Amino acid sequence: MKLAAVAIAICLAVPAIVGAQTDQRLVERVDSATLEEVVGILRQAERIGLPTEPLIDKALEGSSRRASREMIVIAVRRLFDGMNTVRGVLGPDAGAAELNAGALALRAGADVAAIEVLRRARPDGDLTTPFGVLIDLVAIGVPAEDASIIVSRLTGKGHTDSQLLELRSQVVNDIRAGYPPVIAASVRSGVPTAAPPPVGAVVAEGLAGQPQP
Amino acid sequence: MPSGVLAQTVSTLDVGAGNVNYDGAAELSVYSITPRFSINRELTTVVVAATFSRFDDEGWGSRALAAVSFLTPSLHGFRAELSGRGEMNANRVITAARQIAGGVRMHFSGNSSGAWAGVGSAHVWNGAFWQGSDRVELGLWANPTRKIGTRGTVYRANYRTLANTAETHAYYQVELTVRTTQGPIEAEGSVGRRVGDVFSGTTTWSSDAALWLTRFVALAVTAGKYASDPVQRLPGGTYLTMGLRLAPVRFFVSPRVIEPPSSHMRFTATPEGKGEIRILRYFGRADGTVEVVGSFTDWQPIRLRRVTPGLWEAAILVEVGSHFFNIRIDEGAWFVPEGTTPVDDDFNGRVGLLVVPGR
Repeated sequence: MKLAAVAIAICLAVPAIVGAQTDQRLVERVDSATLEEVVGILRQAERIGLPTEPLIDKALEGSSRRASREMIVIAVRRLFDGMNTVRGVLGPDAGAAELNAGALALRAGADVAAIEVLRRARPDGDLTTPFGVLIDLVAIGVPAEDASIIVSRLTGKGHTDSQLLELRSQVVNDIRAGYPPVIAASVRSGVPTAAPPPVGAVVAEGLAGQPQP
Repeated sequence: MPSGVLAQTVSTLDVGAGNVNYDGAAELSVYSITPRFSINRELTTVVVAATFSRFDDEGWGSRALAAVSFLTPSLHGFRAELSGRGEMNANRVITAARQIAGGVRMHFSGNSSGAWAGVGSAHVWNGAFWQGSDRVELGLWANPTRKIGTRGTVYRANYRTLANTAETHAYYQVELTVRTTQGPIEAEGSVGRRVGDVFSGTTTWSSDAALWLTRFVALAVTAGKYASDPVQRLPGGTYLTMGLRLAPVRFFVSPRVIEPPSSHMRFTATPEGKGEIRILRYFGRADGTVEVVGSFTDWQPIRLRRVTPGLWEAAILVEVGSHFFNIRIDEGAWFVPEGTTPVDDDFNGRVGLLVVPGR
């Protein structure tokens, strides 16, 4: 009886470990030294219940770019840490895409507080797209802090994923028309932003329309 | 400005008319033209501006300013700034008053407030002789807008003291400035108080409001009362002008965007049915092949099918989430196609961002 229980435990445990070790895509495309370290991270992820597919995808991305072992391992580790942090905020039910997008949002410059605000803004819904729009806004030039405020406010008002993506398109069009990114994002969203006041030369006495003797 | 982003260039031209009343003189009508050009980069700001005025008594006046500021990257919220400024005033009485100034400031910025302190020195030609002046300033700013729900309102208060070295003039000035943007309206107002040996308590104020009718044209109103400048020997006065503000140049530059090889190309990812299959389409010129590689292809190149000349497509399973990808044409270099946002990857490259919504 005891032997049978051990056998069952082994049968349950081994596939998970071996699965991470022998993911065929990694075996075929990642060198052995890199593979060993990546598999170590995958095992760690499995132990704490984090999804491994985003981590595998990151390793494959590095491999396709012929990145060094160090760069691949750092990238996978960074994503692991990011997903772990995001799950700490979103809870154990967060999905792989949501955790991955949240980790990418952190990488883009959002902070943990922003993720907490987003969670409160959409307490029961999936945050994959809000995270994606946040990443996108930062990438097109909106400061991360402002992008976080805009996305969380709109999400809290009940904007759908499609509406958030539409906002992104409008901001891109405005930027092409010449508006600074933070202004375009603020105007389109109707959400105030935290653009800092001008410093230095800009605070020189105003000249606009001021006639001189 | 955020790290790694954007140079912003803005050029405006104010054309207006109004009244000016210099201290101890009769009121004059004035026509003025004010060009202004500024470049804001992450760590550098350059402003060049001027005002040319014509009065109804055949008099004229002009003022030109060039200023540059260099900032260090933020370290735990602290940034240092080195600034320089050159200024010239001329009219039919004063041939040319000139000023060359420089200074250093230390800034501390939080999420919605900050402070700065600085010292500066200037070399001034007042039309008769050169003299020096020194300046000390302290300032605070706050942007509580996110708390009160208005858009882009910034409060700034500063205290300055200036003393010139030759004539022993000295003054102290406290000033409060509010700048706000509400929809198409941009406005800035300030009120200050100068105290010193030649001022004996002078209140100054200024306001500048613009209503943007289009993205490039605004109605502008400026008014104010400013104190005399004893160092440059310029009189104080009050003014009111109204006119148009034109902004022929309002653009930013993102030097890190990878330009696609053809300006006529486009990339789209259109949902197909209700599932997660998306039709990836590339519109553009290619002689042989168009391939896509990304997180939805396990980072293995997939060839798009040529549908018509100039149109390639492929149906691919793209799950909900944020995806990165690149395309290449005729086995050339991988690049970020137009229509998607380029972002830094983890491997010193750039990838396009594709966000697939979930609901």
